[in-house]
Amino acid sequence: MLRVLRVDLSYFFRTKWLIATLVALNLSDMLVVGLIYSHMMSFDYFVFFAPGVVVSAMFAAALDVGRRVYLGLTEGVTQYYLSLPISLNALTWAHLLSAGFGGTIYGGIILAFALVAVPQLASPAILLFIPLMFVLSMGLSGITAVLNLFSKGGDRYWVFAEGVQTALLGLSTVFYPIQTMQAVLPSPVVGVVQVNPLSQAVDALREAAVSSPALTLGVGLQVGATSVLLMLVGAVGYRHVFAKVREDGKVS
Amino acid sequence: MNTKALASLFAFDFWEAFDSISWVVYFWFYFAFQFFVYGSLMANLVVTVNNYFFYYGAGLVVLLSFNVASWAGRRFVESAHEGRLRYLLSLPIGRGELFVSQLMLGVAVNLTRMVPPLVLVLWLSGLFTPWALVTSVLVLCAIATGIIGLMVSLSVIAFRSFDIYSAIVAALSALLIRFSTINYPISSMTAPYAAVSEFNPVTYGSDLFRRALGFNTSLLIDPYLATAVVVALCVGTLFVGMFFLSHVVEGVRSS
Repeated sequence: MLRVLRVDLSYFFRTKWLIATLVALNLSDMLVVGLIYSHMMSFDYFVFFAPGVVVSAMFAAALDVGRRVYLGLTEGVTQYYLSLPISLNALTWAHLLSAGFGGTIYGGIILAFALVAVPQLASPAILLFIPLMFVLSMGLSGITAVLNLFSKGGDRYWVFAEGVQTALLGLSTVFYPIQTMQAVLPSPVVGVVQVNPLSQAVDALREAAVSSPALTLGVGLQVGATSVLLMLVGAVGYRHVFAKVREDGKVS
Repeated sequence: MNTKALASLFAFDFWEAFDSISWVVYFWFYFAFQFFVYGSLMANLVVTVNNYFFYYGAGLVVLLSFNVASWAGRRFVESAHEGRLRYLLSLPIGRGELFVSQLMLGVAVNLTRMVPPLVLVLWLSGLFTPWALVTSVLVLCAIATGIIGLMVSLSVIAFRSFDIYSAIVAALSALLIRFSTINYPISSMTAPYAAVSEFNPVTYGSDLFRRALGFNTSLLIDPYLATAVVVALCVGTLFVGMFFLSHVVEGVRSS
């Protein structure tokens, strides 16, 4: 399991163009978009937005496990893994753990940039956010299991992944405060925003910067609970995908 | 120019570009979501631009047009790596026809995807007139042509390494978009950012597009200067792309 985890994780950091894309997007978002919008708003949007960039970076890195599983399914890597003496559960957890590490490492790099750019974010409570990123990344990667299942290993995976990423980021407090959303969006949509794990994560990060560790722990537990739920969905989803591949040789 | 060969190439590529209906649906979903959700929420936060909702909507049309044009350039590179370009070069088709067919494809796909969002923005902003539609479509075509030419010119890198090409294009696209007036006016930028933005042709394209739509605010760059830059980008990248395809492209190394 650890070998599969290591190989899967190394694929993420080996894809140079993907890393370059993510870094360019995240840093330009933080240092250009955030700063410019600050001049256009009545509050310090840069300080508000920097934690949002960290969470969106972690989200993108965690979701990448879905791309790797999709490519593994289409290029026969998954079929090869299944021919090895490794259980379905071990294969499933290897991918979920790889997403956890990928999200934490990449999110951690962007967090380090954010701490340099916004020193106000630096607080002892921010350390609690690192293990939280790991659990959250594993949870968010669970979404990709569902996408792989519904796309049946087909090209529609990319459309589903892009659509889910757009919707989850757009309907979260990553880009805008909840008060603005409450003023503009209908209340059922605001309810969705509040249970969105990305909103919970970014609020936890913002809170970690200004609140006491005890308060942050409470928020952290909320994020952790949502993540574990998503992680379980992901585990069941990926196990089902791999079981189908083992039985039929393909997902559909 | 062999118009029959050009028409055959274009027709084949054009229908292939619409193979995946789900991408077209996603494209319009993305526009609608960003315009109505992100746009309206950000419009509530922005205090320095009057009617930021439509300012953003116009920028979003340019952004998506940029993405479609980038896709057209990237598709050319992918076709080279998949061996299709070698096959096309072995046919009795001139390099000029090949380049023009790629360009026409990019512009045609751009129009089919961008006209519905463009009409929506014009209609909702109350600026819809046939003149506004025609001029804004012309500006979009000019921007798309410039970006496709740029991407095809950059594909010379891909003939050495596809990974490096993808990394450069991704980073360049991110910087061209961020350091432009797609999302915010130049007056809102700090002096160093504004200086970079002034060297970015996308800045001039975005502001010219807003002028064509009928937005007339002091936030926009002088239309004559913007027109000159967009035309220069178009002509310049077309010449470079044409030169590259005629003299450099022979084959491609697999990455």
